[in-house]
Amino acid sequence: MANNLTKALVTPVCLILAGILVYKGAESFQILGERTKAQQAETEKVLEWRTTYRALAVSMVEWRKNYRAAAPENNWNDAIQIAAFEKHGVETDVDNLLVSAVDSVKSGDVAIGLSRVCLATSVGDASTLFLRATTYEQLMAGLVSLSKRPDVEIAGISLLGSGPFPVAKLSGFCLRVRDAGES
Amino acid sequence: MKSILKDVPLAALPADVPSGAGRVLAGGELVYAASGSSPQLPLDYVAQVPREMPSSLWQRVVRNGQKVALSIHPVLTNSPKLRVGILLDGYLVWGRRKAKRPTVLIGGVASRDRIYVDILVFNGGKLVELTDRSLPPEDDGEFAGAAHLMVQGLRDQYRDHHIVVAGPLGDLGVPDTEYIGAQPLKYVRYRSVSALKGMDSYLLWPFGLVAASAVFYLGAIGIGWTRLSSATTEHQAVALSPEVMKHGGVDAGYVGVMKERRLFMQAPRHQEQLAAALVSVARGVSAVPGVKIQEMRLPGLKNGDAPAADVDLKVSVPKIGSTSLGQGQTLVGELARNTGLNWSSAGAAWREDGGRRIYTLEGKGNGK
Repeated sequence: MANNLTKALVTPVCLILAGILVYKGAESFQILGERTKAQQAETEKVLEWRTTYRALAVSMVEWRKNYRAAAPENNWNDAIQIAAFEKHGVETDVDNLLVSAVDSVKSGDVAIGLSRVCLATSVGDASTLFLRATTYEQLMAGLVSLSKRPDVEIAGISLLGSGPFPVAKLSGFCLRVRDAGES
Repeated sequence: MKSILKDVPLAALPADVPSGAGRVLAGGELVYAASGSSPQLPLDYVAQVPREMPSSLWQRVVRNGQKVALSIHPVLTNSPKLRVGILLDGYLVWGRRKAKRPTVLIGGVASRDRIYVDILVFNGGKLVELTDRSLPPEDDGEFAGAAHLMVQGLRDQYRDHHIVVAGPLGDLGVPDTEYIGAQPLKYVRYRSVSALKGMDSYLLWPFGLVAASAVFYLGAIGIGWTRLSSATTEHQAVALSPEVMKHGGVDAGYVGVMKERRLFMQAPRHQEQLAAALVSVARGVSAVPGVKIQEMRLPGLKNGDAPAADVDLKVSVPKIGSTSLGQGQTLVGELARNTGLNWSSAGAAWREDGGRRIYTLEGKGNGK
């Protein structure tokens, strides 16, 4: 009788067992599939990021070439050194040079790790920087080459012809420097 | 009585079973069959799949029909090349299909010293009883009497039943019986019976199902896991690239900063045009005879609500002619020719300074 009961139970038990195995197998397959998809999406995201990063890395080389890493607002000598007026054939009154403003440069509302350090001559309205040269040609050549420097900002230029030297008055003259610690 | 089967060796005893390959139609002592709820079968015999008693699937379900338990002698399972047919199977199938009216089938197989007789009673295509008897061999003097007696007994027990005699038995020679010969034997299927299959063949399909499900389960997990781990490996390979490592993962903010830096560097800068314009305007102004620049400003200062001029210019010229206005107009014309800008007087346009006149002018490009 016990043997018959066993026989009678074998089929339903096996059916249930098979059902559980199939169900669990399908369920596990699905769960693993979802995790795989999530993982792949994550990989895709990283790859996309890396592709963008690599594409932009070229620009970053230019970035480091264009702007020197410094904090000249704290070191006055640095500012003169970075400006390097003598390389452009012009000079300024270093004794009266002052840092008139320092602010962080933003592009599209994003701080891009660049500071603007504005220089002025502490004479008169103290927001303009006086530059002079021996000749007008030299002064203008100096202004042209200064204006081409990516790390120099010039808002406006006045040429003064009434003094003993050719003198230019620059408004909004600022140096752009990379923030320390920025890669 | 002679054997009506030429091509198949009938076997009633273990000694009749051929060794090795071939076909054998098994009956007699080789096959034990019984119906009932708990049929007694010899333990040393090999159990076979029970035969269904009702004829149709529907009947099997609704009547919960009893089965004919079947065991065969182990000698039949010795060789996998031996294909075994069960005589009883032929009778059962014949009964289900052909016995429309109540029928008693007498079948069986003869050995040297006796005849093994199977008696199957069918009603409405359904087996209602299964018994076995034995008769003396045909050449024994008691055979005819015993056969008559047996048939008479059946006729008494099963009134109104049609009585048929089936091969491989010969016609018993008893009146009012129909001899159907080898008809049922064509339903016999010959197949090899291995010991394993015979042992617990009713377990085969449930266990097979479980085994298949287990394979499916392991396969599903295996495949899923393989895919996941390959995705993980791929991810790690990407995540270990130097760019990602340097920033400790995907730093969307940093890429944003990089993009803005590039935009910032690509943005056009007015100051280069400013310096170039300064040079060209200064040259143009200086080319006018007698003109001295006192101050030249690029861009011009904003004057109230009006947009600033491109250039604010203050020049001195030696006094020529009677009126400042006239000289001013001439000057403006000459400046325009030399610089390509439109010049106009601004505010207090001129003043006298000794022998010179000082003009304050605004220059605008043609676009303005």
